[in-house]
Amino acid sequence: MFNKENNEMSTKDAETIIGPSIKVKGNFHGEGNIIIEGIVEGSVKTDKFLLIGNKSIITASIQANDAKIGGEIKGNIKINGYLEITKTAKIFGDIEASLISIEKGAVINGRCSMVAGNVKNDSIK
Amino acid sequence: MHVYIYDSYVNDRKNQSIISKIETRITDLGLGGKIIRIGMFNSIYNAIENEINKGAKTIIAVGNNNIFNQVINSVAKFLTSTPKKNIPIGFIPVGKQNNEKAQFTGIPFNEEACDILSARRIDLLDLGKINNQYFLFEAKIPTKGTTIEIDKNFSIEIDKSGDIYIVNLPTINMPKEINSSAHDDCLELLININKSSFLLKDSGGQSVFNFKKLKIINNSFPITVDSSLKLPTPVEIEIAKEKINLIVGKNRKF
Repeated sequence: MFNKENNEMSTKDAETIIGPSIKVKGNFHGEGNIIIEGIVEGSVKTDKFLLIGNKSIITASIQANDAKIGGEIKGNIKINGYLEITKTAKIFGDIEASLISIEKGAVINGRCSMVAGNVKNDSIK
Repeated sequence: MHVYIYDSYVNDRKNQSIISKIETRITDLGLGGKIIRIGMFNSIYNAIENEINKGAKTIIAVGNNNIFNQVINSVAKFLTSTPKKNIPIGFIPVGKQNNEKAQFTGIPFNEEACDILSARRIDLLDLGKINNQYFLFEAKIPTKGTTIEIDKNFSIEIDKSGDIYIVNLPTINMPKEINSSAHDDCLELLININKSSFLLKDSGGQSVFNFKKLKIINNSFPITVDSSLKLPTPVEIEIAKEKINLIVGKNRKF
């Protein structure tokens, strides 16, 4: 299970950090852990862990292996493994994940589908 | 044979005492060789190419960040046509002015650097390439007016003041989550946003990106390479195919 300790371990070895004063436009694809605290427009994809901070604003489709989301997202989210949505999150788009936790206070406007660890499942339309 | 490339400023009278001590120490350690004094009309590249072809075993820069960078560039350019002759590079920093890079390679100032040459601890290090120039440490440019395009996939906009670094061998504080070194075959883009002294809530912040090829444009400011060379933009930056063998000290910070 993906708990707080695991989450902190995952971000100890990040490949990319998008800080709070940074805006990224385009298709942002990484192979390692990604931490986003700023603004992203386009698409975000990684084979590993994605952490989206409380103050970040994402207008993009998102794909990752595992993710923790605390910011605002306009776009669809596709997570292969575990998705943790914290109380500060505002999501406007469809969600697909194998495991999911949603903290009280989070705002979600979109469909939510649970799949058995396979991102190729096309249940979201 | 060891070949010593002297920067022009080391011939100044105020440096004569330091140079005498260096040359005495070199003789004592049995590291004597040929001295080439660089002036306005000398080509460092031609001199180094000539000496390597004659059988030089080590090329040693004697001076500051500037000559160190030029020797690295010359050896790396030589490697593009003759990759098997990867001659080790040594460095003797003369004086402390404009010589802050030496400490990161574990090389002390003046005659004490000769002991590092004698120990001959060699490390194979990556190089960055900015247009046709090589760099060992980093390139730096202010965020103001700078546009960054990475791998032609995405661009970065920065609306606050700070500095942008393209890092090969880090001499600045990197975020604790990032493992950056000159042994990983990649460069990092680091953006440091200045902390505001008036707004305590504005904590600045650091951003780091991994990339294969990056383009930087700034119409107002040049990009500074290894604290020694300023290049006008636009520039394209990537990891170089060439690597250098650098003689490093045991107190190196990598």
